[in-house]
Amino acid sequence: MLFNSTDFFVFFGVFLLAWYVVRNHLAARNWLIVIASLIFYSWWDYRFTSLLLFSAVVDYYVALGMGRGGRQAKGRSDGVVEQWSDEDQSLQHSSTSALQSVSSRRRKLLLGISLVTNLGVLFFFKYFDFFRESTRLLLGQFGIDVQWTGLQYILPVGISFYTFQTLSYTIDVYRRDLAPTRSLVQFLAYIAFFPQLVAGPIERATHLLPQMARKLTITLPMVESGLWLFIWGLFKKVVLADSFAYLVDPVFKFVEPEASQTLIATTAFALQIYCDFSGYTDMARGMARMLGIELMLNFNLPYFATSVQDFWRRWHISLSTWLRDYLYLPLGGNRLGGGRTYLNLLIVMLLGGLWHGAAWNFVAWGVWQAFGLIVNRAWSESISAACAKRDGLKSSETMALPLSPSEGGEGRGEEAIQLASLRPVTGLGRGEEVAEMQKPLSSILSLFAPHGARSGSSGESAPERRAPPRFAMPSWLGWLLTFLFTLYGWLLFRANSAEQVLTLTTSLAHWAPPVWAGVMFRELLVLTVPLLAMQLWQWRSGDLEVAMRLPRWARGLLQAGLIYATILFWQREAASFIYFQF
Amino acid sequence: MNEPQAAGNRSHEFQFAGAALVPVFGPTLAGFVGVVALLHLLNLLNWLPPHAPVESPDEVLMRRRFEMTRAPSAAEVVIIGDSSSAIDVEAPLLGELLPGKPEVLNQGMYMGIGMDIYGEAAGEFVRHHPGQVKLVVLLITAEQLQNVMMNPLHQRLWRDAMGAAGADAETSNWQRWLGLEAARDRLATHLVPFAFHGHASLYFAHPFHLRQHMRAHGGSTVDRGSYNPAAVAGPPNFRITDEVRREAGLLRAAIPSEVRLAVGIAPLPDSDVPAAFRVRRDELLRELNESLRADFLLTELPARLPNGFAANPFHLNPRGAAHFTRLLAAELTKLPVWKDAAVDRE
Repeated sequence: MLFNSTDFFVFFGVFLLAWYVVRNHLAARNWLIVIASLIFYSWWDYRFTSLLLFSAVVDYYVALGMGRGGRQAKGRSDGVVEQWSDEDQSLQHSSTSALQSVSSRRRKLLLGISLVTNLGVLFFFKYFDFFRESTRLLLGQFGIDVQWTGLQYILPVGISFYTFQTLSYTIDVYRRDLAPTRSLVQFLAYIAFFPQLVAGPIERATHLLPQMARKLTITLPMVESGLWLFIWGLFKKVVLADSFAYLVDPVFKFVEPEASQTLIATTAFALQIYCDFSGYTDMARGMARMLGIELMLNFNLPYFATSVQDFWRRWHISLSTWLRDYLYLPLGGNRLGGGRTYLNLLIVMLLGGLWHGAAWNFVAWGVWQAFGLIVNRAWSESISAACAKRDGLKSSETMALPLSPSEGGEGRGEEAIQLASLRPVTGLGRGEEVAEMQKPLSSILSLFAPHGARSGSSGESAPERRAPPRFAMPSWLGWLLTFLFTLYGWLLFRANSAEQVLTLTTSLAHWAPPVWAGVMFRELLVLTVPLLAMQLWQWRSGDLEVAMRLPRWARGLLQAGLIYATILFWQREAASFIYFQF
Repeated sequence: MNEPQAAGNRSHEFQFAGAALVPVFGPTLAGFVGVVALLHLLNLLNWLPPHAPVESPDEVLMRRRFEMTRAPSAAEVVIIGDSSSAIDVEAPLLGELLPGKPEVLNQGMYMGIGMDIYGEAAGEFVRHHPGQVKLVVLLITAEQLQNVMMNPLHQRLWRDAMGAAGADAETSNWQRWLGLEAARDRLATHLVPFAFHGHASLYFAHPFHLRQHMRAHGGSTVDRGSYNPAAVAGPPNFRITDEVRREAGLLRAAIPSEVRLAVGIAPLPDSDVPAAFRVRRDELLRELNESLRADFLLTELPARLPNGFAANPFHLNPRGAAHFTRLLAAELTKLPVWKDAAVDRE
């Protein structure tokens, strides 16, 4: 069921009524979430509901098994660990160690079961045919002709999202960051919560599971802001994303597009995928908030990023933090030296690319992003080293750009602020959030300010601010390069084949009189205006939900306009969300 | 909604009264009604931009074909037929290459629509532009002669246009009440793209694109695909059905007898037919003409063209279309219609 379909509005209306009815019964509420979520999921294909339940039930019992024996997490009833205590205080220290050793093996085994089960299912449905075909082609290069039959299964919608979500739970329990929940219904409600089930945000159990366990409070401002998020998200999807698609799809089917068409279509795709995905997230967060549940932020003005690193702090935050916490850091993060850090980045982004889909263009996109991050990191390190040399510091004191507080990043000024924004629930103070959101554009806009008035956005006073080295890249140039880098990444992402990547890339070098690029460009501009206007407003105010500051009557008018436009662009056959295929 | 705390596990609590929702939803609802009222008012006062209806590519093409039968035009040569005529012939280039550089109008439609309708497209144009048209060229694919895929949608579009029924039948009452028709057709279509589905959506994102292209190319459209068949096909078994024979007779009857009619069959990709297909093609033309009674058979046109010129089995790509248009111009130049045209001009 798609959010932008009439079916869904009927479904959600009925759900809201039921939500009101069960307000006095916690267990009934969670059952309602589970049943509604399964209906929501079954609307697409009921057969794969069993797969979702299978993954969830396996991980529920695996986590319970991890919690049994040896040291137990003494968690709150909501599952979050407060402290650890020995299960049996009477045990002597030596016997405790022996038990812990057994327990450790048992926990590893259970974690292995969870990983094999979840990743096995994911591999089977999503990657098996891809690797089979790639192997067949590879063997063909050596003259070995293999005839394998492909499985050609339908990809279960949202499998990558809920697999990562349920995996994070077992890993957190394994790491003793979280006590396993004893309520299967609460756990199912956490895994299957329909607003975010099929396209995220990929919620952490530490954040969402406690909300399933406790009484929720729904205030009027929550309803108002939830409604706003939903309307704005729906507008982004139906009006903007689906209209950008009309500028994208034809060109990506051309045999010989012209440079202007390729450029416009790629830019339109960058905006389409953003409006499509962030629109979905906004709707999910808005609906959840109206129910009293808070989902994590997934996008933070990503096209305002001034570096590739910055982009990944702002784009699909729930995935990038997942990859950081469950892949990058276990691989060693940046603690094992420069070469290993680069290798880790390559592995993480390669797998991040593959997460999006079983195709070589996603692999290429992942490698492209890794390349950007590596160059970005190398550049930052050289700048830091130069600063250190100038200031008489050891380079190691400034070079490290830790990816998480656990790597020692807390309290390292601006970098630490940016990195903190990666946390599932933003831990930034209000002022820091504003500074973070405003950073890139303020640098750009400062170009137009009187020379003496140019200032950064970090909030530092002028005497405290160190002048950057002469070869440091200005932020506006960083923004431009990052945007162009991201654009080419989207070309790789959207292309249908390696040949098309080549065709589109070479087309950029051959400018010819545009056939109808003029009309395309005008449409691109028209569609970009409402998005850009909103984002500039968000940036200026330092508040992603700045519309909530409007008086009710003004917001009502704005919402009415957005709803009218949405109805105007409404399609009988709702266009699916791009990220559903992942 | 502020209710006494229920005993036990309370699920969730609404910290506001139901009446508090009125100022939350009220302004939005009032604003919505205001927008609708404003649109109706502007529409009533005719203060909105001109009507530019949202259509599918097929609707755009069929509507334009109908409009052109009545629109001011200096065309002396009219191309009719299925999509191969719409796509394979570059009307402005053909006009440039013909003696006296006459204006050429491409009225090509779709396969499976019925040859009688092709005839009406030409006949209506001739009727509304009396004494102007010197030559009508019917160009079809061999597949069309079998009449295997009748397309009721296209037929209905034409019949609706001819009957002045328009394409408004699908607008429901609630859409009219909300003023969506006016907002879409008089406001939004001037600004932003709307859905374009079907084959033409591969090459035209928006009705503007297709209309603009047809305007600039004398009604010709384009297929930018590339044809890579997996294997060479066996010899096809084309034949002419009785229905097509009947329609051919109606086609000729729809075009005034003083207007000359030439007929040709569009070339197929090399991989789809053997070299000997040309013989069969000429046989088909002669058989067809028993009912059609055309003035000229274009037997010198190529029966096949290299695959590199093809967009798919039925259409040529832009390079192929330019090549074929030159060949068609050379063939048409030989016809004894241009002397009269030159004399008329003098």
